[in-house]
Amino acid sequence: MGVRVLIIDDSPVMRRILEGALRHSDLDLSEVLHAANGMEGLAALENSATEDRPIDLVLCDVHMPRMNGLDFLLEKQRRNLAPRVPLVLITADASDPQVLKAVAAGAQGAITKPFTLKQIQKCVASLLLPPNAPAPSATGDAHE
Amino acid sequence: MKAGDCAQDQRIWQIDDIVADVFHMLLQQSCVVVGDDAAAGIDISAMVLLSGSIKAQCLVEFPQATAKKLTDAFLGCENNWENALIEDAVGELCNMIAGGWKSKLGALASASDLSVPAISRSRGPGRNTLNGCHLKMRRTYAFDNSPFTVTLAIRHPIDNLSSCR
Repeated sequence: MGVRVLIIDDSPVMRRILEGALRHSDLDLSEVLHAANGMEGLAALENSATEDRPIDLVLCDVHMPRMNGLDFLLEKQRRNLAPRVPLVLITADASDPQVLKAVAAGAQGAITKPFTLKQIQKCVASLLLPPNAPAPSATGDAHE
Repeated sequence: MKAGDCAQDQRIWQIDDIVADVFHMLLQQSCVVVGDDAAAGIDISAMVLLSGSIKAQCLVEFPQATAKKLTDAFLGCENNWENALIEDAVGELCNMIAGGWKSKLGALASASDLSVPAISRSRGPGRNTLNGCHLKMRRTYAFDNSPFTVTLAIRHPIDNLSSCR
């Protein structure tokens, strides 16, 4: 069964760029889900739990309307949604305090735009662990 | 920043490599400087504000044809994209350039935030303009023979900085 990735970004262009990077990788990708803000991202996680079709990775923008990336992470944790699923932030501002707070709160890392497709692919591959492996560390291994 | 530190002073205006990085890393394309005058026939602009320890603005301006070509490049194919998608592509480019510039500014901008891109199509009073800025630099770039303009401006602080253009 292939990997399911959730991309949360208010920019449809960036969502497509990220999806393109995933589809051009060696990942066994079964589905890429799109959400335009944190609220939609939470709904997608809840749906995946209800349907028993787990999401394996979340790529999440930082600044979005309705619910930003940090609030999404905190709310996801409060609801105990997909606690083992790695979350990587996508940002244009590497020194954004929200990114640092999110990594401290449990995000697995951040990738700064612009990025190469290889950076995305390498980061994703490193975070997609076998089912019984320990949860990935939150030490910012994916931080670029 | 120390007064008179010309090398560092000039460095904050050097965005050519930031623009080139965006095109090279994301699109595997080159993007070159073609002048200091604004590109002709601006139709779409996006502006990101830096606020906090520094007050500054990053403005990108595109003719429609260049914006369409940018969208083609970002999305990997030619198409008759909706205007909203084309505007989103211009906004994303502005966001990345502003983020790269903030990084260049170093300590000067370390306690500042980037706004979301404000998009404008108007050539009238509603267009994006640089308000109250004392120092600015402007460059016109081209990728695939398609020009667009980037303007960076600083409103505050200006004491130890000098204008490039």
